[in-house]
Amino acid sequence: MRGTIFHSRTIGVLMITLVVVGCQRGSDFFFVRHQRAMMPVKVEGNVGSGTYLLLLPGGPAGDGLVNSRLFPDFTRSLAARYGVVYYDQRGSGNCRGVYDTSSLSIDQLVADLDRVVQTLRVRDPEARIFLMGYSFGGTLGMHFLRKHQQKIAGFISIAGTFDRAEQADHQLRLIEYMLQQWVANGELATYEAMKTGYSCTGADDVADCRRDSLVTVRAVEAKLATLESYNQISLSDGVLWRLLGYAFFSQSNPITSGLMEGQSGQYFEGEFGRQMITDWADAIDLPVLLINGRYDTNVPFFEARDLYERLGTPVAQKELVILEQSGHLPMLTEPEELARRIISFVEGG
Amino acid sequence: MPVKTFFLWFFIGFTLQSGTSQSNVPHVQISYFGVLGTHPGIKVGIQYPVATLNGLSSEKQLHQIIASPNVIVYFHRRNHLGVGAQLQVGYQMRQLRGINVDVMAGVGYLRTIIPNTVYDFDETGGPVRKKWLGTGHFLKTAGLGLGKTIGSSVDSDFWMIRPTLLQISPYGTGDILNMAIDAGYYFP
Repeated sequence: MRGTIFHSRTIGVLMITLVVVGCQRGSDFFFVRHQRAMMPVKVEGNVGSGTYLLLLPGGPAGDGLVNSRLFPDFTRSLAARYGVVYYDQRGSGNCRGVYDTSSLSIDQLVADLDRVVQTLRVRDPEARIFLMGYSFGGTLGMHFLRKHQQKIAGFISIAGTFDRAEQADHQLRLIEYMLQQWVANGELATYEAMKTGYSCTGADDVADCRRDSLVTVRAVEAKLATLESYNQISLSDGVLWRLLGYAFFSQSNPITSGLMEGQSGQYFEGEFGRQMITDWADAIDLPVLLINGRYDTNVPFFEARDLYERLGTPVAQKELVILEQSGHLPMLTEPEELARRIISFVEGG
Repeated sequence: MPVKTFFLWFFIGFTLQSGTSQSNVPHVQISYFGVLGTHPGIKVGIQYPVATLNGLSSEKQLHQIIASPNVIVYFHRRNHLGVGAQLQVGYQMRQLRGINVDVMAGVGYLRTIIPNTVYDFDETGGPVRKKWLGTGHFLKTAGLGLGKTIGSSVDSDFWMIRPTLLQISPYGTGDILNMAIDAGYYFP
């Protein structure tokens, strides 16, 4: 009887402990309402540091909060040192409220982001805030800096898009660059057969020439296919479980998030497609870190290189990093190195 | 316009009920109503048989038109609290042996409330801390249910599991879809 009571109490205490521990949250969560959009904001990590990295997600209209779950090896390193802030922009993720499609513009996203920054300062008046833009977040971040760079300690771009109007040219440049690299490394004998207008007409042995051309084309196709592995999310390594956990046991709703991206993204595309940020990048003079993957076929590293040249930031305060084992997802391919570079930049090293 | 439609559905539902000879007793419904299946909620309502399509000829099987006013409360942590009322109308086939099936469509009102702090810039220009900010929505639902009768009569208790699609408007720049699992127990 006594043993039974003891066991019941023990189980009771254990259950209460589990509930209490389960209810403890490692992050803070609130919303910012601006011009009828209610944007969810999640702050996690070492907010006691007074330094915050505010993530501007990819897109347009990409889910922001998903980044807190999808890349734990990357975000854990940052959160151990700084407060990391995630939010869903209007027209994306699980942003709530009712607003007009005319508000789906980069200017409006800048105005909304400004309110998120203001809110962080209300909560922590000494906050030192860095923007960390990924892909489309690079575009948004630069537009924010154009208006409000005095409010920010620095800007970090990860695979940031800046000159979307020239993206196709940059992608062709990347292929040309890779072909040259493969020939230089001896991985490919020649890529003459890949050039526009190449013909075997007039060759000493036309049949031989055509056979060689086919071999070259196949070799290049195979090598280009390997580049894609740097640019795709693989559902191995626990990514699938993290996505399922995020989908069914988090603040998110993947149905609404996916539909929002589909509905809203189209309204940004025209404006996004016209971007030529290097044209006015000299107006930006705060510390900037630009990080790109060497094999990024979506946003080739030339964009970051061009921007680096045009920034008004003094050379000592700007840095360009090309990650040699990454494409468009360095958070997955080189999370530790990516985090190390960001920490070094934030620490002023 | 949505409010008018809502009342029209109620009117149609109750007119049908009063104008048809009632062959079976109403059932009280108590359901687990989980948005995405995992964000818990409860749905409570009464299911009225509006018309029995196979009359009273069979004691083993019922084909009925159902009207079911109900209230829903669910909670999606860090997303919203939903409180709604709706009228569902549909076809239901119940039987002593085998699977019960129904197809239900509903309209109603849903209020979504944010349970977290909201820093509001809209009213004064500066951030004002608020809580429990809500938005009203027109709700449309559609669900396909499968279940089983428990007991010795077709009017006995039964349960249904009904995946339900929710269309919520206005939301964002238009409307949005959501999904819920409605797992209910029904008793006379």
